[in-house]
Amino acid sequence: MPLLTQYNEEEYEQYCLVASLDNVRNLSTVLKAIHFREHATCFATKNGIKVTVENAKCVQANAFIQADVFQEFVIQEESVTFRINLTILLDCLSIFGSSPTPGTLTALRMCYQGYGHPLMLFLEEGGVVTVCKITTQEPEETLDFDFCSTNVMNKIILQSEGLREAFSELDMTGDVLQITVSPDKPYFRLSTFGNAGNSHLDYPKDSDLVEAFHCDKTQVNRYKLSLLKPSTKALALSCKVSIRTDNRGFLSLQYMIRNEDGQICFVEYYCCPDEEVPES
Amino acid sequence: MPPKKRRRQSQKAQLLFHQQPLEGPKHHYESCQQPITHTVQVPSKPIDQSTVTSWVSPQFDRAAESRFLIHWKPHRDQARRPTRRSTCKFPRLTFESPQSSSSETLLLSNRVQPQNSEKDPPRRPLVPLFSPQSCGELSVHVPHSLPHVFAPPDIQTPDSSVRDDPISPDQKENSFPSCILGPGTPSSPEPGPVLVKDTPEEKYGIKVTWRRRRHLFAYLKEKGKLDGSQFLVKI
Repeated sequence: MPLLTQYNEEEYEQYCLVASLDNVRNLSTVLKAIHFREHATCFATKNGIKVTVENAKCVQANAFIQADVFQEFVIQEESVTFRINLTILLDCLSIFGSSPTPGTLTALRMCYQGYGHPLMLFLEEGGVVTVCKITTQEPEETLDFDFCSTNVMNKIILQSEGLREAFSELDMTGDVLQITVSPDKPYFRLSTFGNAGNSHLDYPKDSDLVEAFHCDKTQVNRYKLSLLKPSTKALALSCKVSIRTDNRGFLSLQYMIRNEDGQICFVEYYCCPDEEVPES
Repeated sequence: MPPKKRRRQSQKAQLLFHQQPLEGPKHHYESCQQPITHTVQVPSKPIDQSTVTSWVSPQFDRAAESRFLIHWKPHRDQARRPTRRSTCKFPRLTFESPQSSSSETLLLSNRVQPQNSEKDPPRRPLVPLFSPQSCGELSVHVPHSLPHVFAPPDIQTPDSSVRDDPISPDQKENSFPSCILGPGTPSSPEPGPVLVKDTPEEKYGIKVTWRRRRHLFAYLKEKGKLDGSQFLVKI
């Protein structure tokens, strides 16, 4: 790979962030999982790159690409933050084709010089190099979900196939998805209320699909299906999912995703519950 | 057109129920109204250092991941592992010349002294092996090219010499067995039996039919009445 073998000390000094990948799909696949809004905020630290997408002050999705995933990850500052058009970024990452020939990989070098500079993408496939410059923006405020582990009341770890099956079986014509977690039966229940009637899906806590089940108190919460549907992209890619609810009913879905090289990335979804409006 | 026949309408009696239908609750097909709800919204906050540096806290068992990684690695190692070479299970064969053969060769070379070895070697491809003690009379006529021509030690072959000999062919053929069975054999190693008599050189290429009728063959050749294609073996 000419991009990876090329070394220029001056180049490193002018960029505050340099990240290289032998296979660009290891990045684009994870970013597609959170692509339900046009813009995203990128946070780069020594741990890696966190990409955040938010919607309607009710949903926040975070994709964590660890530094180990990159063949080269150099960051000159403690942290680097910028806002970028995620749609354009994904288009550039797949500029050589979304379904390349098997055995053909697209190498990526991503460089960012700092505040006000564009994000530069150097993509190489078969000796052909494409350079993309994407304008960056100043980051805006972020949603404060304040989801703390100490406030978590219920935690369930499922095989992703179990939850995928649920989303395909349940009647999604309704507005909400009700999640019931109880120390007794039905333990973990997903319910929808559609035009054809009510649907319920129960998971015994001793099921093969359930890897962990921690529940101290019965909790019933409802969430807008329109807010949860985008998370099915990450669900389709993942192998395991952690479902947690805190004392306020806030939902956290953490997906463990393995890329083509067997490395692990995480995608996390936060969703606000529905509250009943008191009758006046 | 014939008029249509009027069908007779049967007047069925109305059914009489012995019991009246049971009174029970009736289900009304109306959609159940869901309570009015609204989604909770969270406040926004400026991006601070804690927001930037916050990282995911994995909720999954690390041990399971380690097991997966361990399981993942052997496939790569297996792909990179070179092909195993198969080793031969059988010991390697070694060919050695027998000791007795070489000793007998030396013995034969010591017995016969080479004389006139350059004369007529191509005309005597096979040499008979005789014991000087048992065949004293024939030892004078034995060619002395033995060291240069290898012959099986235990097998005697007839002499293929084409020289003019006072002994007739019949007597010559009969003399070998008597010589072999002579009274002097106990003092020397017993020779092996004669397996096949060698064909005389003058009879090479001649059909068996004419070899057995040599007188007739000679007469016809002398008269010029026998063509070469008639008595020679086709190769």
